[in-house]
Amino acid sequence: MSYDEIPWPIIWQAARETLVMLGASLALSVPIGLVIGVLVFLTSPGQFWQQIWVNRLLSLIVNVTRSVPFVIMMIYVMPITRWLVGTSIGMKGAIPPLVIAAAPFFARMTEIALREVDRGVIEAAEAMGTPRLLIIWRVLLREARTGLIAGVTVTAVNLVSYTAMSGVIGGGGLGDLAIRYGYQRFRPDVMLVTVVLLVILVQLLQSFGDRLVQRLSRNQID
Amino acid sequence: MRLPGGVGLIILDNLCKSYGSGKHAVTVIDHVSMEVTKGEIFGIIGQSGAGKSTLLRCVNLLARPDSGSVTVGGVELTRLNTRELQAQRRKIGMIFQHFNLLSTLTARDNVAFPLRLEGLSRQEIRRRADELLEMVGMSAHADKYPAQLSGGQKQRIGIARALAGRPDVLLCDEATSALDQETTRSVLALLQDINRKLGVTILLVTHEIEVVRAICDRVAVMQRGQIVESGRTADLLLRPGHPATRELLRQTEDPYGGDASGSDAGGTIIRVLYSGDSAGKPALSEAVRGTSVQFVILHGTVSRIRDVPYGRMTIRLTGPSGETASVIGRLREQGWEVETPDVL
Repeated sequence: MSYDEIPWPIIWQAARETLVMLGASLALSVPIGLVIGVLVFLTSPGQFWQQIWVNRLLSLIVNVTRSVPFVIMMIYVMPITRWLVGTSIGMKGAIPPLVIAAAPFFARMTEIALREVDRGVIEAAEAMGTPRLLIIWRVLLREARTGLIAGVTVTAVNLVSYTAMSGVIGGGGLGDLAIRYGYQRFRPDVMLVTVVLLVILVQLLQSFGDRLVQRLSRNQID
Repeated sequence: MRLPGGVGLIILDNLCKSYGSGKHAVTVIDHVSMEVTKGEIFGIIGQSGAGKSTLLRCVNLLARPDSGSVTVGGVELTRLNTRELQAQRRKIGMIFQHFNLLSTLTARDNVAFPLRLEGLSRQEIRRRADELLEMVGMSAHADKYPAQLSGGQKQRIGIARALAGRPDVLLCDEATSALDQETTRSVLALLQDINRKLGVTILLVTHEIEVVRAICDRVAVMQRGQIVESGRTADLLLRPGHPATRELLRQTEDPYGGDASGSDAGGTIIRVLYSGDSAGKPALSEAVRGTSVQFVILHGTVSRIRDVPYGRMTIRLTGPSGETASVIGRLREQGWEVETPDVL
């Protein structure tokens, strides 16, 4: 095993694909998950859009989606994927299942973050005559922002592992590379490089998220 | 509760509210009607669980009564839709026991929060916010976050925020209950100042009789969802009629009479209460003049509740019983209330 045997151009190409898949699916999952999470929170008992049945339905959807293992989910949603993007393989084909898996996860993270917001602060905003959409925007999401950022970080880390898994159905990226070279062609060196790259990626995401949380919570913790 | 010639700024009419349903329903407010006059400081006092905080929340409909009507400044809030109610709420300030400031905003931005709802320009918002901070003595802390402020400072920011919309009414929910005595005093002084200088009517809820004694013009006592007694603060505190009121007073007052009565020393022990005009008179010395009766003050308080001076004392009279009886009669003529032992 010598240095020049490792197919670096292919590895960089795969790393780029992983980053694109991660970026695109995160960019879609976060807003979708945020909206679902806010709705789950606000329709829960005691909140201002209290709707028990809507709440239960949304909660059920979130739970069901979260209980299906991603490998199975990918295969199961293939018809939807084809309908949405025209293909179920490659980078493009990987993004819909990634979003379908990550959005409910982030929705749950959002709901948890919103529950941490002091009920009294929401009440104060209501007492000031704040319209509800502004309460959501200027009070709820603002006060929950460190929790939300932590949620985005965890979701991103999960997505890294999901993108790797999508290699199973020819999803492209580092996971795909690890399976095709590392597994099918018995190339432990390529396997090692992909694993190291994935670890570095996760580390970068996590420390970036942590640092952002730290910065924002400076001066604001009792 | 309607004062003659008063202007009912806040009118609560026959409010009822309960939580839960069926067998588990708990009545929190039980047919409450009351009226707060423009310009006064009105206190609602009661033990925890009496329903007073819920009653206060009914005034701006943070809690919706099951029945009855709420009118503030001539507008019946219970008839409004969400949007109209939001507009009315901007004219009703509210402060809270736990301040409820946004932790992610600086003191100035917290005060600016309601101003931003009014669509003012950035400069105008900043100018008004700084003005309000100045008024509550918090200019030096404008750029700090709530976590960097003390309880009293946070409440001052809360007050500035509540006044941002130039409200006619300020609702205070146990606003000093989380503060130490000295801070409580300074926050109460600030509230009184706001009432006098800006003419803001204050409706406050508390479980501390001291708060009522310090700043309330009138007070209502709540117990199990009902107002059991109400009236001018001095009248109610000096002559409590309802057991609930007496219970609240017991928290702070010295045991009536104490153990200084020295009953073995002989004579007649009487308890007196005088207030208002009769407080300025030399009633005691005039009552004993020309008799051989002597008096010793065993125990007493001479003070003032709001603008009403009063005295409450335990006195031992010694002398022939006929003369003692006439001394007591003279005291009563002077407007003193005298409690005598049963033997007399």
